[in-house]
Amino acid sequence: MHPLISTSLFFIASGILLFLPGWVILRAFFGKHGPLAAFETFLFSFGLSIGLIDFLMIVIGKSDMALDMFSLAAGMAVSLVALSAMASVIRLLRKNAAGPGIENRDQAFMFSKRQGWLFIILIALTILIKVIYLTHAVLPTATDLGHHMYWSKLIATTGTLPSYAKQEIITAADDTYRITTPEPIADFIIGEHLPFAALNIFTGLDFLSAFPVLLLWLVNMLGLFAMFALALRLASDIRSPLFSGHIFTPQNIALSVLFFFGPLYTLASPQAKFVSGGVVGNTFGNFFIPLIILAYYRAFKEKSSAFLALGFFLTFTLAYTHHLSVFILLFALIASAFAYLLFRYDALGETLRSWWKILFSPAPLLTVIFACIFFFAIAMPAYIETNAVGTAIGTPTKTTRTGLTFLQITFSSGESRVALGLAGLAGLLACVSRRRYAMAFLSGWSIVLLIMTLEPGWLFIDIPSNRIGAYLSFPLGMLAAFAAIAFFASLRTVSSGLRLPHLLFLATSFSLFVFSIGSGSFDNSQTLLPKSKAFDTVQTFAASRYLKEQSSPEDIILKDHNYIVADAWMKLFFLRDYAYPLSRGFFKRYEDNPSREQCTLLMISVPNTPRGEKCYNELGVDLIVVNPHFDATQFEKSQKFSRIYVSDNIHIYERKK
Amino acid sequence: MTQKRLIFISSALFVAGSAFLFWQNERELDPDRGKNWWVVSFASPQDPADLSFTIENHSDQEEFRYEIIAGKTVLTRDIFSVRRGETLTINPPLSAKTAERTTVTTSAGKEKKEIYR
Repeated sequence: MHPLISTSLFFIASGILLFLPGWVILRAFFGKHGPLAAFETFLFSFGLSIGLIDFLMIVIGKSDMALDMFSLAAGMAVSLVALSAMASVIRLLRKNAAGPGIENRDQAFMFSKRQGWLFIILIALTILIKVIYLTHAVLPTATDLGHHMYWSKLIATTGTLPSYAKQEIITAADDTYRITTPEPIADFIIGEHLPFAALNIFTGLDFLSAFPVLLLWLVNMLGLFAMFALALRLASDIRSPLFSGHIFTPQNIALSVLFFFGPLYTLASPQAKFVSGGVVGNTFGNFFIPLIILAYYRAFKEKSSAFLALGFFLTFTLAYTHHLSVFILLFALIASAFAYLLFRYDALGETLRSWWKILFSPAPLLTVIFACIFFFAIAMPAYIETNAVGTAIGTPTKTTRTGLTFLQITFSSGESRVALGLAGLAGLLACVSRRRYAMAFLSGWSIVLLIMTLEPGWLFIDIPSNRIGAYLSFPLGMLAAFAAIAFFASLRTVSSGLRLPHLLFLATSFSLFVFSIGSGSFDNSQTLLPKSKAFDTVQTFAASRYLKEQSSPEDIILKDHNYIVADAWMKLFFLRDYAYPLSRGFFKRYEDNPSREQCTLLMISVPNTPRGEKCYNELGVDLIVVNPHFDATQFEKSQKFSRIYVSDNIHIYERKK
Repeated sequence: MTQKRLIFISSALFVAGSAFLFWQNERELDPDRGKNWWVVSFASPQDPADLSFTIENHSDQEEFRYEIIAGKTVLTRDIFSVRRGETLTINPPLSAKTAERTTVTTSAGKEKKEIYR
């Protein structure tokens, strides 16, 4: 497909599927002159649309209708009409239907010309750096993305919801090896795959194209905007006489957030590296978490039941998209609520009464009822059905789960963000009125993630600490932005006895800028890929096409994961099973886990030994795909294998019958 | 500057970046663009006697030679042409030997590739 057609299809379909439905819902519930700023409308539209697409596709799939363009379009139209009707009823019932008004709505989001240009420069720089990185990384080669796209393609091709299961090699009671029927797996969540499937159904864009990475990049960029919008709202609630009101403005703080999450650290995890690597759940989670916090913040700050319903719906969407993200979010929300109650301990009753009043309003209640019905009567997330949640709770025992050291945190979150973030946390707690929701969310979110990362045992969390650490950079980065602006604002404040000369002010600013930019851009330079994998990738795909055409359902293919580029994408050619073709995994996995099946290792590494032959005979593997630079000799010297396919980096061998 | 203008400019930059990446990805996945490789494979791998084979050419070479060898005996040889981007199936008038390895050696310039049964 011509790139211009691909681009047009991608954006038209994204607009129709991933923005328009949410925008219609927002307009129905909040009205034309509602309390949402344009940035918020843009972001919430996307979040709501993702939720609507997910739940609609699950309902269609569960009702045994085919998931295709017609069922999706019809379902979307019916849902939007029903939701709009419901919104009309709720708006009639709701007493506080009117938002704060257009004047209040726009104040936090008004930018001077200079600020506007700075915004554009930061966004342009961010996009430029990411494009440079993705130029080599946009190719469909990443293992995780290949795994996810298998499920998305399966949904789009079969028109049904997938059953998350895979075949495994086991040793039977009679000491023979066999391949099981598909066994349930808890690694995947439906919401990670449905948006990709929906886009494919509507556009026909190939999964072996740039579109999966570009959708993730879109989510990643919207996550950046969500942080920006959240910073604007939180900053508008924070004031201190110690900071100059001219500098410590929501706009400057939000632009500082854009600086710390845009051009700086823009490639490393959890940014562009997660995009190209296909870390789908985390990327969606990193968009949803700040957006949901924004919804709850506005719900409680403005006593708005509509925002609370929005927060509930987005949280429920996240629960069907990524388990760890919703887990982190719940901890952050509980900690924020606890922080607010602690900061306002003298008005505990009043606070709880106001929360109760917002909660028991039509919109949040209807959302909760919808969520309960959907959860219990239609579909639970796979991690609930497979009882995987229990494995995340408990006293951590493995060394990878007992917390990161402070040095590891600075490495994963970035030196400048950690240094300034911690300074920001201490500074805000010391200098700013804590009796505000903004302070409760900022401190609750950051402190609980610091505990979860440094000492997960305190909270009985048994999850790999580096995975939690990837979430810490967000509150720390936001606090770093507050700290940087507060620092300048404190130097400039009129009330301060110390009024520094311009030269010293400039020197200090420059030092801080250099420290931040040095740390952030060094991180970027470490992530850039040295060269393209295109030559290897096209060979893997060519060999996969050959195997698809030439093999039959009786054949069983084994391929190598160690030395073949983009091998995880081979399964998209067959759509036979998640674990098909069988794969020789990383050598370390066989060493670390001796109870793991060894046949996939033996059949490629030592195919001519008795154990290797036993595996071949009992599993029925007859086609083997290897990289000849590493694995040809053992097959060449055997009379039992024919070499049926040769390219520079791929050999295919057939075991004689 | 209004929010809508900022969103519009950001979206335009993102669309431009995406268009470039779609274009770049198409180029990278194009087997003929900036790459020099070719493939030889059996055309009917399921049939152990069938020696017909396919050349898929993505290289600058157009002239290919092949030899079919059983043990150390050359059974047949020939020359053929395949242009870049084309695929050609050769049907040699022979069947594979069952007693010994039958190899189809294909070469183009200095490069040689072997498939065998």
